[in-house]
Amino acid sequence: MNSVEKKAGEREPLAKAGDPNAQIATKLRAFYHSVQDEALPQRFLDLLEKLDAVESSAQRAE
Amino acid sequence: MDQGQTTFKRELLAVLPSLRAFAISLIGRHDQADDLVQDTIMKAWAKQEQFEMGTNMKAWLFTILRNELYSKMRKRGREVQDTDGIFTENLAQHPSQYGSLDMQDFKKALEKLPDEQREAIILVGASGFSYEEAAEICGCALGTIKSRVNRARQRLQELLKVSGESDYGPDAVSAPITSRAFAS
Repeated sequence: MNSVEKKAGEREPLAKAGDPNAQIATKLRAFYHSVQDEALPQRFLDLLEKLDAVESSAQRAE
Repeated sequence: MDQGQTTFKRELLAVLPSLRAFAISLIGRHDQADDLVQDTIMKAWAKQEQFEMGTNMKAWLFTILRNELYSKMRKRGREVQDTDGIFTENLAQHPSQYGSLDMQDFKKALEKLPDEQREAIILVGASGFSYEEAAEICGCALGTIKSRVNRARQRLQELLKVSGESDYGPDAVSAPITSRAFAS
């Protein structure tokens, strides 16, 4: 039994740590993902609810 | 509510965090980026009949957001006004928001890139698009996207001084480029 199997989807490091392109790539992803992981502002959820409601009532009126 | 509409909304919601990260990475400000995301949602909703279910919703939304941004910038004539304190606020903006100093430095460097280089490296390096998809989103040739990404990488390396020269010695690829850049 191999207990150190890699989890699916786990990424190999793209390049060795000293490679400047790898450093840039890592920083870019870290920055992007820090934003992506923020909670979605409530205004977007409210907006989608509103759009949904408008459309549903428009359909009922047809 | 019909089935198509529910699926559309669910898929749109699933893309929103990444779409918002794209907007914030492009603009550098949360409030303006969120306004842009809101406009994008409304545009997309109005055009949802044009979207073919099962095709790439993420690429479709990113394209709409990008078009919205550039048409806004054209309308404004790209004038640089600091009436609402964009630049002063940027400097002081939520120092804790991006955690480390390192991250703030990266954000500043990203803001210094030309628009088309910034969007290219974000799409390919962070949003998870292929070069082909990024070319389609930006409406340009594949080779153009590739060269924009390369130039963005080189510029970021210069700005962040991660050429590795001091620690590792210049490598064969970047050394001629960096020395040329510094010589000019």
